[in-house]
Amino acid sequence: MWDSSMTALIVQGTFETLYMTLASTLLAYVIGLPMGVLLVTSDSEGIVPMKVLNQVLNIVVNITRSIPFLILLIAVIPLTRLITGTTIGSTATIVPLVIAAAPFIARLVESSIKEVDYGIIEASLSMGASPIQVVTKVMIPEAKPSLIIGAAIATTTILGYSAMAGIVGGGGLGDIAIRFGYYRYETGMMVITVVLLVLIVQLFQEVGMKIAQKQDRRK
Amino acid sequence: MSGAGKSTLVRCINLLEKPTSGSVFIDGQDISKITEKELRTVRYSVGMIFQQFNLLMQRTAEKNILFPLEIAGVDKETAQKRTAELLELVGLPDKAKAYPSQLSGGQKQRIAIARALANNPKILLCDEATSALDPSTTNAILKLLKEINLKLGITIVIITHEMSVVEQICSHVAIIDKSQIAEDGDVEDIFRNPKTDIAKKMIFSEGDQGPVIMGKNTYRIVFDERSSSDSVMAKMILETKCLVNILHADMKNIDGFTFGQMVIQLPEDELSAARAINYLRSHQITVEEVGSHVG
Repeated sequence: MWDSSMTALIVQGTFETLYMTLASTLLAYVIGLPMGVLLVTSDSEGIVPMKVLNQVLNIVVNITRSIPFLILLIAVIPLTRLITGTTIGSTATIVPLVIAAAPFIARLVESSIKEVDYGIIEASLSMGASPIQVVTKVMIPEAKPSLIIGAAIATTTILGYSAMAGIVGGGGLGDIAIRFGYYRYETGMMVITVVLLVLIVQLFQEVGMKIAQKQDRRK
Repeated sequence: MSGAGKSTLVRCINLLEKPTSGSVFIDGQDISKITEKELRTVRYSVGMIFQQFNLLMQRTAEKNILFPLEIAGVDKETAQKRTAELLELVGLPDKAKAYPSQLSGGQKQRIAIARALANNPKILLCDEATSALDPSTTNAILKLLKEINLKLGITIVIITHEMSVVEQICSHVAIIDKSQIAEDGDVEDIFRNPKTDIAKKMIFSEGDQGPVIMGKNTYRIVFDERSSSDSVMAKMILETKCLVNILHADMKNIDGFTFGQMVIQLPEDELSAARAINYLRSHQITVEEVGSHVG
């Protein structure tokens, strides 16, 4: 039952999973980070209150977050085809992953930034900092340890989502688990993929926590 | 008194809090009518320090002082030089690379002061700057502020609930009660002769519980720097043969001038009481009868 082609398959699956996860996380942060910052700054208590924008952002985030990923995965297929030209494989999976992860990341970023003591923000305003300077020089640097922990959580969550994409032929370890473990009852393959997924999650989580701890100057 | 509006008032000076009505003038400029961008430039010249220091926790002491210079767009070399100067001024050149979490409260406030002075402000606002510090650290910080005031000629606005802070370093005082300025003027005048109830309460209750005033014929007498040097009380007692009961005495040194106040009880006998009062008044000493306002 086991041969070198299986090993090659597993190795390829692992790389695909890492590729999907990291690329999606990165792209999702490109969208989610500014969204999270805007959620904080446009709040009625924020540094630049913008009621309408804040409400729109909150609604968009809440709606996207309440759609189960599996449904989203299928629902955005036309968009996926438009962007990547295909609907199967790891690159195609990145589209729904980014759509699902960005609002989640926005919330993580929002809560990290809200942890920054308002006194520090007020102090920077008293020194004549512009809203952009407050964001780039105070909010984000001061929230850095918390943002890194958030990034570790986001990455592992996206990894979990990426495995789900196996259902629609999304590639990666999840795909292997479904094709071999589920459709062909090859328990061995199932166990191997699950163990690998667990290990990768552990790795991301641990590395994230270590970096966050090292960056934290508060104690 | 807490909730009186002290912090709100100081936040109105640099418009961290927008006044619902009225204007704020700095150097003749109405800053409540200028644009956000212009306001930011004005804020470069108004430093501020806080009770909780509000240092950037992820930056070293040195980088905290650099922060306002970065914001104002000062070039790197000048900023570095200025930072070194300021660390020297606040007496912490060896703490340049320390993070705020590694500093004591007094050291944090020194860094905060250095940071507030970075852009050479004309005004320094202090919002309860010593309230989180122990008495000896408070004294050291007040000394530093006084030094800055004298050496750099920066106007310092101090918000505090501690009258001892006012006494130690202020020249003018405004007492705020229930969002209203109850009384304002020279520190010496107010301490010597507080007119409003709130001012009396604050000045009397400083330190201990204040004098317990019972019975009639109780007077408060105030010495200024001239009369406190000669023993006028003793002379008065000897000359008028009036038996004086001293209920409370307090001598203070304000801004280089000694002044003090005493609460005395004079005999029931109206004649000798009047003699004593006349003697004191003839020596230019303020005498006023006190009711039972101190509880």
